[in-house]
Amino acid sequence: MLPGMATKFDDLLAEVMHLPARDRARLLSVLKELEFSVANIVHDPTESDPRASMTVITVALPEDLALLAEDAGLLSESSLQDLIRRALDEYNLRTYGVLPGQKRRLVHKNGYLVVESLPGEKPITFEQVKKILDDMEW
Amino acid sequence: MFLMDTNALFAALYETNVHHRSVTQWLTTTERYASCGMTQIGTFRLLLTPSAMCGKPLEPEEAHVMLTRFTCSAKHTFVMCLPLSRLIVGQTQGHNAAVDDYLVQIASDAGCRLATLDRALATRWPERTFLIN
Repeated sequence: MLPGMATKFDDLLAEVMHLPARDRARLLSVLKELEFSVANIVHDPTESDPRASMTVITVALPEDLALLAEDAGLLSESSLQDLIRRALDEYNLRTYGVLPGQKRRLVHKNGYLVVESLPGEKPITFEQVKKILDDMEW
Repeated sequence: MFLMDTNALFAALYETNVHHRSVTQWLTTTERYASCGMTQIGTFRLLLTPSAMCGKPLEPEEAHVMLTRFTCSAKHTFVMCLPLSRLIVGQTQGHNAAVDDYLVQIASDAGCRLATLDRALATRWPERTFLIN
């Protein structure tokens, strides 16, 4: 707390205590709402430190490539993220036939929810699923 | 009643799975079917796995809602996972087969057969499984 702040806060409190009861009640209500909002901010995962869900990766690049990339502004975090996202879109298209930007839909079918196929999506086989299950760590 | 294998449950929930139609048709003709903790968490994990979902996995909350809706059906029963049996799991043929054999045991303990897409598993346990074609 800055010097002089304690005195000003005490002055503020004294002012508050002299307010009419209705105004004090209104002030209390606003403060409770503020406390609730602050508590929500603290616990809201979307407001938490974005770097908390980041992974740091160190990559060795050939020197000439690194220099070219740096000159072109491609070594910044945001540029690299864009590059990787585009590469992932190409990978998904090549591997699964899924276009960028396509989103999953859950549809009601036979009394329960089913994941709808995306246009062009390649079917997944029993053998592929079995391999994924066998490779899972339990 | 049939206990659904993880692969069968996953196929029921995902249109892109090649067995989705056959499993769905089988479900319409089955009076009762079941799942257990093992098959539910296995299916849940598959729904979150990019390689199982053609690069577009679900969010955990979506996967949970899907499983909840499926298991809320009047035809569905939840069965418990009991201690490992020497008779079935104790005779398993390897670490991957162990999970399959445990599901066979869970089905047997619940008085039903394991409905599976796994031909090799159905061949290994012909009286305790049902192969969904």
